[in-house]
This record gives sequence, C-alpha cells and structure tokens, in this order.
Amino acid sequence: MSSRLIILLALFFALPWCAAASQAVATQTDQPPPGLVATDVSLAQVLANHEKAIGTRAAGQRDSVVEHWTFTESGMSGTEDLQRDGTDYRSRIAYGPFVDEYGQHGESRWHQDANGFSCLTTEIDERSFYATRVTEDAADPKNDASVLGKTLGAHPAYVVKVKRPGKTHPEFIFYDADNAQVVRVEAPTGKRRLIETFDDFRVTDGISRPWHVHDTDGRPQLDDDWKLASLQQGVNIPESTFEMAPNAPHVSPPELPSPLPGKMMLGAYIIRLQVAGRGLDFLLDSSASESIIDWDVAREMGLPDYGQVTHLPDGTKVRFFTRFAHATAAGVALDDFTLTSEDFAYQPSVNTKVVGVLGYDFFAANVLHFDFTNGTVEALPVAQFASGNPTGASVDVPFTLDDGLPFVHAGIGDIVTDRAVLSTIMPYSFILGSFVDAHPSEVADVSGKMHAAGILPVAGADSYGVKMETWTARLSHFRFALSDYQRAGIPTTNSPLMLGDRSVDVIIGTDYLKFYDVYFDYPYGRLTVKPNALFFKTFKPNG
Amino acid sequence: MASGRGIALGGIVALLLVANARADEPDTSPPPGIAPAAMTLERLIAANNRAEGTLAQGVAPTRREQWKISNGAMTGTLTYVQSGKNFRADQTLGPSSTAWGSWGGRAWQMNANGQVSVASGLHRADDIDNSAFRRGGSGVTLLGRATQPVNAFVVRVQPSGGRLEYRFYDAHTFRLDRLEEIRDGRRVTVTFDDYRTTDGLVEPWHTHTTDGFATNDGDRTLLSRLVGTAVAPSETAIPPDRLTLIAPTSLPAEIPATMSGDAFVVPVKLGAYTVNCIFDSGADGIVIDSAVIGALGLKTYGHITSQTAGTYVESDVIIPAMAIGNVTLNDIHARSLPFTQWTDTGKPIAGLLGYDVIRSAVWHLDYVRGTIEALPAATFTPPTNARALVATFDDDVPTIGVTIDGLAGPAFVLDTGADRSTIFSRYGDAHPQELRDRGLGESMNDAFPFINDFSGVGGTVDYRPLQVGPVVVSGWSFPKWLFEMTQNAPSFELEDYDGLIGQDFLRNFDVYLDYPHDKIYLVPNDRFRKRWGG
Repeated sequence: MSSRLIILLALFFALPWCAAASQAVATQTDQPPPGLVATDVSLAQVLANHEKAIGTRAAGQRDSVVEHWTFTESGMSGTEDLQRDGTDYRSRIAYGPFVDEYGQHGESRWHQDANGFSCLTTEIDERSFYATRVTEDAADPKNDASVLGKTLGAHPAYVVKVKRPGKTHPEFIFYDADNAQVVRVEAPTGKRRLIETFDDFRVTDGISRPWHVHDTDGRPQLDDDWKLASLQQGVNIPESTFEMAPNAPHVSPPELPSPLPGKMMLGAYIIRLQVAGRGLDFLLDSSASESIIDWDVAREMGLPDYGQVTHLPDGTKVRFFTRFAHATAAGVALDDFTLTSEDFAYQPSVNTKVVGVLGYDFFAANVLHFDFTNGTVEALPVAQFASGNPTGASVDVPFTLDDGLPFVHAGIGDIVTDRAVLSTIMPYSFILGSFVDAHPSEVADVSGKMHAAGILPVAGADSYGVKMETWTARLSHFRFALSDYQRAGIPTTNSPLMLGDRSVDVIIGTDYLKFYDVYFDYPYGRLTVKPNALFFKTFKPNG
Repeated sequence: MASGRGIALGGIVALLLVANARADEPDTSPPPGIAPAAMTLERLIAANNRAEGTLAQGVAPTRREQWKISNGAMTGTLTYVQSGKNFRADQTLGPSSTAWGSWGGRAWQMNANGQVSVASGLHRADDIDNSAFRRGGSGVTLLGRATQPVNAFVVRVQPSGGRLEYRFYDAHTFRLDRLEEIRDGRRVTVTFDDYRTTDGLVEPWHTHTTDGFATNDGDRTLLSRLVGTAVAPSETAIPPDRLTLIAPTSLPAEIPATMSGDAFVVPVKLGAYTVNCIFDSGADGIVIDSAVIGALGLKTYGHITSQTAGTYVESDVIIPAMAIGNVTLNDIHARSLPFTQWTDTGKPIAGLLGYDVIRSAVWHLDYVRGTIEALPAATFTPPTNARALVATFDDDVPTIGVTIDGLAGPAFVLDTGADRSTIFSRYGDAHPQELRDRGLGESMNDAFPFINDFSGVGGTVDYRPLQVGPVVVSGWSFPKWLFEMTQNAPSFELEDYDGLIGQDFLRNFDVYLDYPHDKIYLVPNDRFRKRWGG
C-alpha cells in the first residue's frame, strides 16, 4: 500500500468534517454455510485431529525458507521468489512487465518499486506474505468456537464457527473430515464474503502446508490464485541477500538544467509530461510514494493493462498498473515508467485538468529545484551535486525518507517533532491529531481553548472517530529550516494520519516552503533550502 | 483482495504498577573516569565495615527516627520504629498516609486507602546485593577509583538474582557516598551524606534519590534518632486495614458492566460525570483520566513522571465519592494521569478499577454472561467445584504460580486487564529450552515477520507470539498455549515478574477474586467445557 496525502487534501478541504463511525452490523454474509448436516464430533476432536495433521517442525532446524510461487491476481499472472531467514527476508514479485522487491534486514525494511527506486519504509509489507497464512483461529482459546455441522459431498468437512471477541462478524473454518486440514475459510469482508480455499497439502520437514491457495469474494474477475512451485527449508542464505537493492531507475535526469514545463496553481506544483504526442498535467507531489494516472485517461490513451482486470461486468472501475513506454518533461526522460491507474480528478482551473500525480519515483531520479518566487521547478544535472549543492548559500535540512516521503524536523510551540512531512502540493500547512493528543497546550485555538482529543472521555461522550474538529491553532512558534514564525496561526485537526508505521504530526505545505528555494536532492540524500527574496522581505534577524 | 489472516494478536494490556522509568533501555555502563586503584575488594569491604561502626555494647537494638521527606513537589514526614529485625515506617506525603514494615520476617505494606497486604518475598534483589557485597562474593568487582562525581572507590555489584549496582565508597572515609543502580528499567542515583555517629553506628542523615526526571527527585533528612529505647511489639506488628472502603451492608451487589472484547467495562459515577473504567486486576490502584479529574475540579497532588508502556505524568487525587452501581466508596485515594482508551464500539474508557476496589470485596466475574457481582468477604464461600489459586500481593497485584513444560513460573500476574497472556522477556530469555516455541508462534512469525505491539498505559509494547506448553495452572494442564512475549520492555515488565495471565485464559472460567483471603477461585465455564471437555 502506498502512502499518499492526496486523500487527506480532499478531506481537509471538504469541511465540515462529519465522518460517521462505521456501524458494523450483522449481515447475510454472517449466515452459516448452507447445507450442513448435524455431527456429533466435538470441537476438541476436530482441533486435536487438525493439530496432528499439521505436524511438528523438526527440532533444531534453521528457521529459513526459499520459496517460489506462481500466482494470478485480478487477471495478471506473476511469480514471487521469497528468501527468509528468521525475520530477515527478501522477496521479488514479478507480474506482467513489473517487478517489485521488498526486504527486511534487522530493523530496516525497504521496498524497491516497479520504477526501480529503493527506499526504506515503515510500511508493513503484506504483499510478500499474502499466500502464507495461519488459519488457527479456532484453536485459539481467545476465540469462541463451535462445531456447526458437516458438509456433504465427495469431500465432507466439519465447519467450525469462530467468533473473535469484540468482532461483529464470525468466520467459518472448514476442516476436511478425512485429513483434518483446513481446506476452506469463509469470512465476511465488507458486504461480501471472502472465501479462501486450500489444497495440495504437502509435508516438508514435518510440517504440512497447502501449496495451493485460492481467494474469491464472488467476483471471479478479482480472484487470486497462488501456487507454491518449490520450497526449501533450513537453507543458509547469505546475509547480504537482505540488504536494500540498489536503484535500477526508469527515470533519467537531464544533462543540462531543465525548467520543467508547468506552473504553480492554488499552491500546488503542476508539470506537463509529453506522452505519445500529448501533453498531460500532473501534480508534482513530494508527499506521494507512487505515481498515478486517472483511470479514464489511461483507457482513453490506450495505455496497456497487461491482461489485468480493469473493470467489472457492471462497469465498476478496477485499479490497475500501467506504463508509459516513453515520456518526457523537458530534459527528464521516463522510460517504461509505471503508474497506478485509478480514479483521479483535479481541475484547478477551467483550462487545466490534472490527470495524475508524479511521486517519489520522479523525485528519486532527479535534483529538483522548486523556485517559489517564480513559481517554477527545474530538474538539474545530478552530477553537479556530487560534492554538495553548488548553488550557493544553501542550508541542509536533516530528513529521512519513509516510503518515499520526506520527514523533517519542525518546531511547534516549544516542541520539536521529527514527524513533519514536506508537501509540494498542499497549499496550507496543518497540524494533525497525533501532535494534538500529545501536546494539546501547544495548539490551543485563537481563543485559547484547548481541543486535545476533542472530547471529555465520559461514558456518554461521542464515540471515537465521530467528532473530528478543525480549528486554527495559535502557535507561540512554528519553526522550520531557518524560520521561526511567531504567533503563527496554523490549521489544526484532531484527526490522526498514519503513513506507514509512523504518525504524521504536521504537514508543511507550500505556504511555508515559499520563503525558500528548495532543492530535493534525493540522489545524494540531501534536502537543501536557500532563503529567497520573500524570506528577507518578511523576516528580520533576531536582535 | 484482502484475505482473512489467521490468528490476530495484539490488543490492550492494562497492566499498571507503580513504576517510574525511562523510555528506553537504561544505561548500564560503568561510571566514566574510573582509574585503577591501589586497593583490593577485601580491604575495601573491611574498611567499610569499620567505617559503619557497630552498636555500642549494652545498647538494645532498637531505634526511633523522625525524617523530613520530599518526593517531587510533595513534602511530608517519615516515622520509623525498629526492634531487632522488626520495623514499621509510617509516611505522610501530600495528602496520603502509607506505611510499610516487616514483622517476623514478613514484609507488609499499607496503601493510601489503608489496605494492608503482606508480601511473599518476591523482590529480593536488594538483599541479595547487600549480602553479596558483605561477602565480597560472586558478582562483586572493584572497578577502580573515580574522582568525579565523588572521590571514591567504585564497586560493581550484580550477583545472580540481584540488580546491577555501582557503589561509590569514599576514598578517605570508606563510607558509601553514592549508589547508581538499575531499578525497574531506570538508572537511579542515590547519594548519602551528613554521616553522624549514634551509639557507635555511623549512618547518613541525608539521602537524595533521582532517576533523571526532576519531578521524581526524593529527599530524606533525619531530624532525630533515638537508639536503645524500648519498643513494644505492637509498634511493629502487622496492622489491620485502616478502613473498610465498601460497607458490607451494601453487599452483595450486581455491578453494571459491559464487555469490550473480554474486558469488563464498568460505569463509575464521579460527581456530575459517569466514566467507563476497566475492571483491572493488573492495576495496583485506581486510575482516572486527568481530563476527567480536571473537569471535576478535584485538587491533585504532586507530579510524578512514570512509565509502564510509555512515559506520562501522574498525580495523586482524593475522590470524595465514587459510585459503582449501588456500591459507594468515599474519600478514595486514586491516581490522575492521561488515560483514554476506547471500547470495541468506540466508547471512551477513562480509568482503571484496580487493587483498592477489588481488595474491598469478593468479586465474581462471569465471562460468558459478562456480569460482575460484589460479594461480602466475611461470608463468602467458594463454589464447591472451584479450584483455588493462592495469590500473593507484593505489589498489590495478584501473583500466581504457573508451570510451563515443567518450569516453575512463580510470578505471573493474573490480569483481567490484559487482552492476552504474556511472557516477559527476561523470564523467556532465561529459559529458552522450556519456553521453546511449539509451532504456532513460529508459524505466525513466518507468515508475518514484523514487529507487533500492543497498547499499554502510556504507550505501546513490542512483542512476538510464542506458543509454549504444557502450561499448568491450578492443576489444569493445557498442552499448548499461545502467549505474547514482550521485547525490550523492562519498564512494562517490572522486576521479578514472569508474565501475565490474561483474558484469553480467564474467559474460560467463572472467576472469583477473593483478595481478602489471598485467593483466586476458578470454575470452568461453557467455553472451557466446549474446548477441553470436563
């Protein structure tokens, strides 16, 4: 899953906020599977037989695997090669023409996207372990479990209903009556029922596991099917395997300084890509981990779908991956550039229709200079920056990239946070719920009222998530880079935002970036700023 | 397409003991600037023995002391009476009066609500350290001599079963000037000065304690000392409870409660407000969210920086009236700290009902029906089919013994606030053979090789799933049980505890918490019978 702020942008300006807490109610999908017949087999017997069927791992064996999977997902086939040693792993997932790599080495987790750019991330990588499942909810005494009955047919199974505490919906687990394996799990997901089936059980080093996994929610176009083609356990894997893969970029920086065609509109940078003879406008978004293009535009342009399902029979659009064979923005070339195609609409003026977002994978290849005085952005030859920023009196801003998003330090009131994200598309900076919860006194509104979580936690209070508040906080200080904005009024919300595993305290938008020339120099791991004319016009030196 | 992954761990653990700690692993390194010294450990110990003196011949081994004390912003007094190995200390600090002592080899303590609990001897690290130093035994090393912060010989003490200490013995007087020790996940510094001689004994009349949080600094100054005067046995005997918090006439009582997951959530009326509290045997007292205390306009006392799962600031508060259903408690001492959690339906939870409430009656928790009843302790008779667990209360939480693969785990906290049973890393790491995974933990790690965490008071705690067995509790043997094993969480784990027995276990029983008789009774319920028969 990628990290993007665009959704938040839409939310923040769609005031008033009034999100209703999702009311989970029992639905038809909660009903037991039909056609069950009574059985006198007890839960204890079902679980005991199943435990024998699973087997026991051979003692002393190294906890490492090398697995090769083949799969189809929403119509596109692919392979996954997974190497894991304890909690260190590396996976290579190839699907159609796309390749993603994921890894974890010690406490560092990383991802290389389909455009060949690697980045550390705190995002949990569920994709690499999609087909590897633990289906032992019934055996867990934390859950209520009961045998509902037995299915009929050639391969009868005992069906156990499992209800987890605090969960509205039950799941139904099918234990093969002959071999005691879990062969099917049915669980409500939204308005549908997800059906997972497992077969081709094989024993390796004492442990039995399914080599074939199939998922469906009743829409066959979206079915997933995974087959384990080979498995080695207890193997020695060199530790270097798990280190972050070097970049293999699909974006080429310019040879000469290249002003990117485009403009700043409503506080957001928009640039024009030339693609197959067309000019397409994209947001240039430092707070997007991936690039996207509007679904309709992608279809209209005939961009390839590589066999993926792009829509359902009822016309519902389905997100898919596509590529530009070749695109340019001035001197920047994008070749076989991957984008996600999904619904996207942003029209800042009658004459400008933005069709997508260029995110981290565009930033990662280039040194980008944002000139807020003139509202322009240029890509600079990377080589010139090898030994530092050659543009003069620039100041390095310490930062870290998390899934492609730049986290920097910022001072809010008397507190310094390292969870501030720079955004080149947000016209306003704003403070988020994690900071509000931790430091309510720093973000009192202009009248002095403290908001904190927004409610007094008494029994009759509103439920969590119902009452989101926004206000303008009067900060004693708002510090970023060289600036100390005193008595600054900053839009603030009690709503939290998580990017990866990290909560974001504040978004620093273009209203505060505009006092600088900003250089995103990801190739050399630098973020530098240079005060511009507006800075010197606005601020006076202390003392 | 999202799949329904297997066992989902994680949740809320409302374990809250009195613990003040740093956010990270404490610094265990030796003090800086230690140089080799022309001294041996044996000579230093002998010199220290001489420096401490001995009680003059013919003087009875009794003492009476009056101390002036402070802890953070609160000030008070400490009265100390000793006769031989028996002693009693009475402390007033801010609005609270507490006491502790030892009588006949049994340590006891009285909390601010006047309830007395007798310790089992769980915490022995200090005694082990002192004994090891006296003997100059294993785990005791003379590191050398430092000139800063005091001119002293520095001894490292860390015997088996003890705690890490760095002791600074004055280079000229050989008295203990300074102690740096690791306590509940913190590095605590104690300084000693103003040594005076009374009837042959040379002892400090001033001590100062700091854990790095200025709000927690403690200071004690001895105002007077009498040695050799008569002390009556009653002066050091274990006292009875000072108060009865719940009037026996209001019992038995059905307590309104709802379940959030497997946690009992109890509405508690406080003045004009009703707040939800978790009925939490893992809490050593009563906790109310500081925003609620503020809204009630109650005065708070002191600001102590504490840590369990995270760091927070807490204060003492006296609640004039607290109604739990038809049961009313008056003038209750509680703690005010930032505490807001949420039920599984999104309702706010603003506190914990811990030891002080639970100690005041016998509580019957029916996990199937989701009901609680409070019963009078004096007339309580356990159900005939109940099995009894002997509980101890060294820290005002019920501690029981568990056996895992034949290994004794004598210090598991029975915690109604813990979503899942937990093994603390120190216990787990010390016994890798008995606590090896039985398959499911590894399978879960293999399918999801990422750090998990659960919410505790003030923050989150990392853990990994671990299936061990057979697990024996009160005679019931379970071949395998899935625990969470904490990772690098010394503040959350506290010293000397092995783990938690949480709701995943308790939900299979009718549970009777009979603190007044140091007992927990378990009666298997329908869930138990469905899963394990019987």
